[in-house]
Amino acid sequence: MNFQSLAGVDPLVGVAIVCALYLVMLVWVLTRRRDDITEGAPDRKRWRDLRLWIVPLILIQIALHLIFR
Amino acid sequence: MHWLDGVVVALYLVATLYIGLRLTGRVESSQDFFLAGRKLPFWAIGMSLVVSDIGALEMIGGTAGAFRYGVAQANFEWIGCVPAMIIGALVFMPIYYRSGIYSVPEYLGRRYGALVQGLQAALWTFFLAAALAVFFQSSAKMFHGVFGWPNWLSVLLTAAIVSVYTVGGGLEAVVTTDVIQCVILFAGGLALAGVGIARAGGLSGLRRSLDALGPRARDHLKLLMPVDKRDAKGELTGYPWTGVLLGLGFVLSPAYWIGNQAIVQRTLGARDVWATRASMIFGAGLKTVVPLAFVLPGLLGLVLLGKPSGGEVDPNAVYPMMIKQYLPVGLRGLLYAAFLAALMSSVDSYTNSAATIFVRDIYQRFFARERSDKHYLRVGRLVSLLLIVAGVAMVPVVAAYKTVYDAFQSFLTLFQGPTLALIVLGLLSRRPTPSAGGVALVGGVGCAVLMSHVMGLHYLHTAFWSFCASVVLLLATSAGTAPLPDAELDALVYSRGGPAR
Repeated sequence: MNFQSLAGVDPLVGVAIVCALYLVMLVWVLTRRRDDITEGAPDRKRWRDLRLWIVPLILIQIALHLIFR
Repeated sequence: MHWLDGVVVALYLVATLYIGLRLTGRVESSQDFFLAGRKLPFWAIGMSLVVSDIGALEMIGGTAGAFRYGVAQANFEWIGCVPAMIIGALVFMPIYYRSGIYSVPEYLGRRYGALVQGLQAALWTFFLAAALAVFFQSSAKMFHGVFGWPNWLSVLLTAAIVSVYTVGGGLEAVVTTDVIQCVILFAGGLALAGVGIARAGGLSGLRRSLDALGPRARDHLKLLMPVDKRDAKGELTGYPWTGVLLGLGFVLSPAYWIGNQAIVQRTLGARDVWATRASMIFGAGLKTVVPLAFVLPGLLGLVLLGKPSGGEVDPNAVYPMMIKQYLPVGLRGLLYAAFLAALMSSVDSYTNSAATIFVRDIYQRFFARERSDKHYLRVGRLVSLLLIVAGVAMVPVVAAYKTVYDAFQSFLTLFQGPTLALIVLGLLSRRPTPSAGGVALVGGVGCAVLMSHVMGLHYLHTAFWSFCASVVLLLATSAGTAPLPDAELDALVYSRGGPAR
């Protein structure tokens, strides 16, 4: 249960899994309706769409994992 | 301390006290006190979320971890925060907000009943209160080393200032002063990183110096470490990538960002659902740059000061040494202020959260149900004050019996997986029943004890497997017991067509 059976597995496999999971999250975020994401916002300005905040955040995380791999 | 550094520290303390005092007259109800009247802007909550997560000890520990293990330490800020904050913002926080709760145990109480609420509330109140004493005691030792102050001075100074604005102004004062503390923390941390990079010959110079250290720093620029990384004695060491992914990413981080009262309470103080979500996303953005301030200095310390553990430099001394050796007068004062800011933000957050849980989930739930709102406000203030006084009074006790607190903290981590299972399944599915909640919490913690203390699993792996065990127990027991009525579940469970309203 300490995952010692994976001792020979290159941590690059972990990097690939993390990046894949971030991509899945990216797709999930992008497929959410704008009305849901902006619910309760005081106005309809474009910057209130939180998808525009989340996408760069996820891309930066993927880039960091690729740089420090 | 140079007089100019003293002026910087004094300016910080005066500004904090002034702003805290200005906010004390605006509290008129218990909602004002515990949830800041639900009028906080997203950016203030986001900054407060981040700064509450960075204590003075984390500044030292984060840098020490980077000194020992390299950028893998940043996992606690990146994969250990960002994904959970995004999911928390989009799925969990809106449901908490709409359900009108004040605390996480209150949500669990509505979803699973009084047993789960009482257990969680008692556990968190005791932990948060004990943590206050440890903050005071550990920080006093650190301040003595960094500033040369006697222990009693830093304890009493911090306690006096924090108690003025926390007892008087409640959550709004806590969050507003956290904003100042966040700016000071980032300014101080980034100043140290900037000076360190210049000393190391830029980022390319840092890279060359790390390469020159050979096998000692072989994995220092890798985020994910091998499962079987061993130290000089042959013992397993570092953060195995499986533990980082499954334990930290899937369990401990979500448990913290969607199950920790100090976090959730701030988002509940937002003006509206959008601000609740935006605060978490904004906080995730800040978290992305935190390693520049508190991980990068560890790497810089490695190339500027000496060798990793086993060499001549104590990793826990790296941050204070970097400040003393490389920062000019004035900037050093900024870092001293940052240490104080980190301590004060942790103390005010824990005090306010412990008072909220005690009043809402223990006092009001079990002892005094039908009192006036003013009564609960008075009790909230009194409990906040008593918590700080008790924290100060317990400093000598904690100093003498530190192992008791360490044991209790380890005990608390055993609850993370089971608690997360209850929150996630309870919020995403109508199937879990109140009876199953009690069984899964008690059974899951039992499994965690077995894995941690009998089988000797790494704490990250224990978190993952105890979460899995609780999920199985919750679903299995729910199959044979009665769920809550649909009308009660509507406000507590996420629905497919969009969040429940």
